[in-house]
Amino acid sequence: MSTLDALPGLGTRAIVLPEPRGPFSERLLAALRQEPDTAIAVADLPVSARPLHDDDLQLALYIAYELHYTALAGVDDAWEWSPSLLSFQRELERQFEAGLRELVGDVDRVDGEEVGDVLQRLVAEDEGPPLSRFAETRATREQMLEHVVHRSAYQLKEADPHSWAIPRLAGPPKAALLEIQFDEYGEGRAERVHAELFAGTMRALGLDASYGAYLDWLPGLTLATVNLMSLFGVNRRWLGAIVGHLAAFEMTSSIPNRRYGNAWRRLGHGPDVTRFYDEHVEADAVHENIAAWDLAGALARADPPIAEQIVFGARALLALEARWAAHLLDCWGAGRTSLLRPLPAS
Amino acid sequence: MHPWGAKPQSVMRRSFASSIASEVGAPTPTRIGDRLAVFARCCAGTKAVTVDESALDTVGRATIVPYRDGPYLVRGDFSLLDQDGSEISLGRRTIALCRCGKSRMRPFCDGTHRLSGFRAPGADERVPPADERVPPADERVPPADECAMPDEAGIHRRDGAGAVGQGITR
Repeated sequence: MSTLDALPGLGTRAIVLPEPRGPFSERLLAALRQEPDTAIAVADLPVSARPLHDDDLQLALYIAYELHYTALAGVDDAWEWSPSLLSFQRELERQFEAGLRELVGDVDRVDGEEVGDVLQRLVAEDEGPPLSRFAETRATREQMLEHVVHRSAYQLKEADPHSWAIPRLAGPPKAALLEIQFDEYGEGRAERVHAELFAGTMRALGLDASYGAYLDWLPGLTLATVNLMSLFGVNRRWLGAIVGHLAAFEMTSSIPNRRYGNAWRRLGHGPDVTRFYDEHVEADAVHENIAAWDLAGALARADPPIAEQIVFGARALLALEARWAAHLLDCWGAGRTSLLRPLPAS
Repeated sequence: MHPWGAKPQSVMRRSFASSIASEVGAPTPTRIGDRLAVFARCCAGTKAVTVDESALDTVGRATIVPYRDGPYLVRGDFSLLDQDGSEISLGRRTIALCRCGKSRMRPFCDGTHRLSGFRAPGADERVPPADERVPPADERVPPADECAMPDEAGIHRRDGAGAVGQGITR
């Protein structure tokens, strides 16, 4: 697919710039091919009516964030901290944040001592669309392949967005985050890094596991679920939200992952495909307790004013994931692809 | 496979004192083993061979924590054995053991407690020790030979004191 994706095992990754989709991505992608800090007009950018679903805005924001994670083919690395890029990114974030606040609504005042309990209650009361149950019992191979491609936007850099929080925490919450992340990153063994397990699943299914290979297929809503983590992770002002996001993410992971593993078993696949999912059943049953109580709970006890933001991060995750799951089920229910275009036959 | 290599630390530690002489200079298969061998070289020929083994403990003693409405998290230097004494592979350093009884991969937690509405405090659920309260007459402990009835789990309970072990569900 690209000349830069053929470097497995070297610890490098790079994205080939995707096709532009509208005014946001056109401006950004055109600028990134120029010298760093080439002007990117912000003042006359449109205001997206549905920023969370906006294929163009979310792609531009995803690419802007990727400068912090990875190399972009043909783009000068100095773009990462270019003032013109940062002011463009800030405008996209402003629209994204407005969409998130509308989605989540008001967050009630939360007592710092109560954050662990509030998170448990939020997750228990969450009734997202039954995507994992549909997958386990009825999804076709093509639909499951689409599911993997959607998730590749995050899983090929699994845990990285939450790692931004490490230097910003101290004491017990920092140790708790590291206890989770050490496991996410394979406890010092490259072949067990969770992102690598996902790449193994993709390869076993005949999909392209190179980083960013399917960007042109991914709708705005899918990119928004990853941009949510990058927004919260890259920006220290959202420290509480990335912690709340991680807690809710881990707390809603074990059971769906068991179902996705069962879905692939139903479709006749073995451990080469299911290992990623099976690993997450067990791993996240550990992580969820650490994340809810030792990370989020301890952070809120140490710094009570951050409690509302922790809850905001958790609620934003649950609400956005529900939108995304509904999108997949709606598309499949209508007999069409949930991606922007059908996958090439594998 | 144990995350630190082929051998659990407890085995390495037990074998350390007895095999320290043969360890010196011998390659070992794990990073912990390497560290012990280096340490042994430093100690060889000195009284430090009788060093407190806890000083070599890079993982720490085992701790077991019941998490609220969730599993037991086990950390530190431990081995998990089946009833026949065979090692159960762990897969990670910190593990979660099922507390609700509903996991489909016991003894490990698989998150099913969320579906079954499992409730339990993250704390000691025993009734307070006798010296901290005045027990009702029907809970007073009779002589040992009359009360120590092992239940199916092998946990000795006092008749009438059902709260003992309440949090452990098989």
